[in-house]
Amino acid sequence: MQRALGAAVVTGLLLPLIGNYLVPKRLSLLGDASSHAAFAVIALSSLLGFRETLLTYLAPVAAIYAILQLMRRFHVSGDQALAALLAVGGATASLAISLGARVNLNAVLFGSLLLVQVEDIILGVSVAAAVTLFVAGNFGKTLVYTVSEELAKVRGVQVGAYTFVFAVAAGLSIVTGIKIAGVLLVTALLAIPTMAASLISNSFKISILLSILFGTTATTLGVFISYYLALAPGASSVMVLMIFLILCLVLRSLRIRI
Amino acid sequence: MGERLFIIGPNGGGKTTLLKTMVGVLRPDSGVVRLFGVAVQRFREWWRVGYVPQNAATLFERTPLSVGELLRSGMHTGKALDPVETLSLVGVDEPDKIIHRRVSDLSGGNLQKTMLALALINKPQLLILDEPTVYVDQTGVAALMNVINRVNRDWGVTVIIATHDVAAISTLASRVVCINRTALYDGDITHLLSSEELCRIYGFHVYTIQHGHRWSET
Repeated sequence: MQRALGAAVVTGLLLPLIGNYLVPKRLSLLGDASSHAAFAVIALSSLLGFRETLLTYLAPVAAIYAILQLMRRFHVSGDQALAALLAVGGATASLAISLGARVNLNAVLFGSLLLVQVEDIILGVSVAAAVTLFVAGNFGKTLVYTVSEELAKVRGVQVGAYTFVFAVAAGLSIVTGIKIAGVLLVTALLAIPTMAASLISNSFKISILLSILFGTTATTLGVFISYYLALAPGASSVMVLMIFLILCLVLRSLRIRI
Repeated sequence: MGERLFIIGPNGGGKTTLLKTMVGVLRPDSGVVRLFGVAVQRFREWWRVGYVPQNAATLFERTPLSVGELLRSGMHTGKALDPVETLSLVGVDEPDKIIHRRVSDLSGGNLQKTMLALALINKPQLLILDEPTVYVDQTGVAALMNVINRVNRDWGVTVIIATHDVAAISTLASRVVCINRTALYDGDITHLLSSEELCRIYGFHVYTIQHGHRWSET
């Protein structure tokens, strides 16, 4: 339970934070692709009988790299690249399961408090610390990078390096997110807090803070609901996020901005 | 230095491509682009360059950020002017209120001015504008040309403007380059404003009436 709460806090901070940089660039799909790549690795390692930890963290990073290459070098659109990787990931996992991999599908797809290991929390905290420091130290540059890579280049920002940093951070944080929210719902943690916060924010800084508030509240409540009501944590967190989203939609239609 | 260069030509003729290649956003197939003598891929002193892209409005649709955050993001330490002062330099009314507003909430005119302020905030030596007059009305164009004239005169900024709006260049240009996939003309403005040249550039017959209009200075 403590481990789960630890993962909840870290994930609820990290995924929305990164989401603020991915959503405006229409890259929130990276979350789905990464989670399905991780799913494939989890299933495969269960089939082949080895402990998956390292590979599960590398697979999402590799998937993100693959998608970005498809998009930038081969000019494949984001949704097409996503479709390709979702298919590969899902199919691989399915094959592995049919061949005998013992995977608790409910836990993997929708999250389970029992899946959280200490390594996940350690990695999550490290990535969170690294990303927070990077963003805080380069706030203006990361902001320009998100708005327009062209403007960023003329500002002197190393666009390639920034893409690398965010891609790796996204890939690594997805895995911790999967334990809490599950393969199918982890993208929600990436995209919905930002979506809701953007509706009512007047500045990027406020949007980041609000999205982190929404995210951590959702994941923490999700863990409690899951623990006491035996419901999947992923779904519980998403329900809380939905409430925040509706609240922001209402505030937005009332033209209230923070 | 201090030149006011206008790049004119029809849409699709390559003006934007040329500007983007100048600032290193696009790579040329052959040849080297140098900014202030340094190959653009190795150029580091970006505070010397101000760039105003076309269609800025679409950039801010999905990202919440305030005018102040946008301007501060472009500021290089030790070189930058005060954001509020820069906003009033480009003609924004009530800059101290606008600075807290979300960029996507700005009117088209204020957005254009804000993008110009962003380009000018480090007191650059080179200012590049891509189609700055497209979404702006006549008074707006006059005001814009006044600001450009002033920074060119007071700061010695070299100005490069790409536009298909031939009327806007008027007497402000000190040098004009016409391109339509290839460079067709490079010289001063008086020789250009004759029908035959414009014919060749735009590919159809154009009659110009020269009325020697000067933008009034404020």
